[in-house]
Amino acid sequence: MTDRSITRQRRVYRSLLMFYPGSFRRDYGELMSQAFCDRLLERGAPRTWVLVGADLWHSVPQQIMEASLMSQKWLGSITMLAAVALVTLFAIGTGPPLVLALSTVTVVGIFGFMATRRNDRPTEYLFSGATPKMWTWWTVLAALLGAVYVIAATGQLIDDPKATNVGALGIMIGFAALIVLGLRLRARSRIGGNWMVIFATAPALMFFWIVLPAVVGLAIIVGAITEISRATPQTPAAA
Amino acid sequence: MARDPLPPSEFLPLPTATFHILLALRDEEKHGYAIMRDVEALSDGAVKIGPGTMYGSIKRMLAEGLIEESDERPDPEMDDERRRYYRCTGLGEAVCHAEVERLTKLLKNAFGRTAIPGFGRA
Repeated sequence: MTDRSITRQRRVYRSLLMFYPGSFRRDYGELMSQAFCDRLLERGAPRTWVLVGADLWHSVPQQIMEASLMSQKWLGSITMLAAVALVTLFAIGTGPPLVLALSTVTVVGIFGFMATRRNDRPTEYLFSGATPKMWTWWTVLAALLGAVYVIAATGQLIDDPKATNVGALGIMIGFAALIVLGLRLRARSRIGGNWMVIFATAPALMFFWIVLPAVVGLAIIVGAITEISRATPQTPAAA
Repeated sequence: MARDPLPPSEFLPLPTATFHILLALRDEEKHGYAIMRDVEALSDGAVKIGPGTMYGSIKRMLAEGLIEESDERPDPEMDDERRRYYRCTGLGEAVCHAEVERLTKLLKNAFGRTAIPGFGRA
């Protein structure tokens, strides 16, 4: 392999690093590029690019989510937005389900923001004393979604007391319980627990017209699936 | 204020990449590509980690105190002052040991309970 070919391929790889968050790229971009070149020299282009393709597929979404959803700045912004929306809804007199959901977002957001400030640690450690692997950004969202299921269905029942809403509350409590069980199961079986959470999160996608539950649900599913894929070998063994 | 480190059992089960990186760093300090090579060699090619997965794991492991950067340059052949070397911390070694014990128990139970083709019952 010629120096020119290596330089060209390194340039292509460096341009692909743009997909990673800026902070991660600044800290590790040069080192990743160096590791890429080492591999290129030792294993040749085809095998290196197969590995790098799979690697980008797995690691880019994970780094983006870790960097964006878990930073204090984002957590603070989400909390602030939820608080402003909550005050606005109170001002215009909207019904309880949305108000209760936003109250939960605000309270959990404030709690999370204060916890990250106090601990000065990654939000994997959001809950003091918890297992790092038990609480990651998406499990916090899943717990929040479970609470929102119950609170929103309770609000709906208070707003419009009828038999179908009692049934809806029962179903939502069931899904929330599945989320809690899935999160607890993760301590013993991460993959089994994650699939349970994914199953219980799926109903949130049906509320796409409210946007927020669907986006949160989607983020949880992506986070859980990314973790499942990390729990298995990244690429199959070479034949 | 610094918090007490979590006990090793709290980190289990380890993600595949984390466990393999800890195993690769148990003997000596290594730089990124040496870790990638070692992980592949340790698993007979079954686990291959790319640069993104590896440095993503390294970032988390540094934050968790499982590994630390080293100033020593143990690989003079491939040395380049831009390279960063990493080594296992005491906590990292303890966590790695705990994971090995967990997997050993798991295997023991698996062999005890299941007839695995080619191995039979323990």
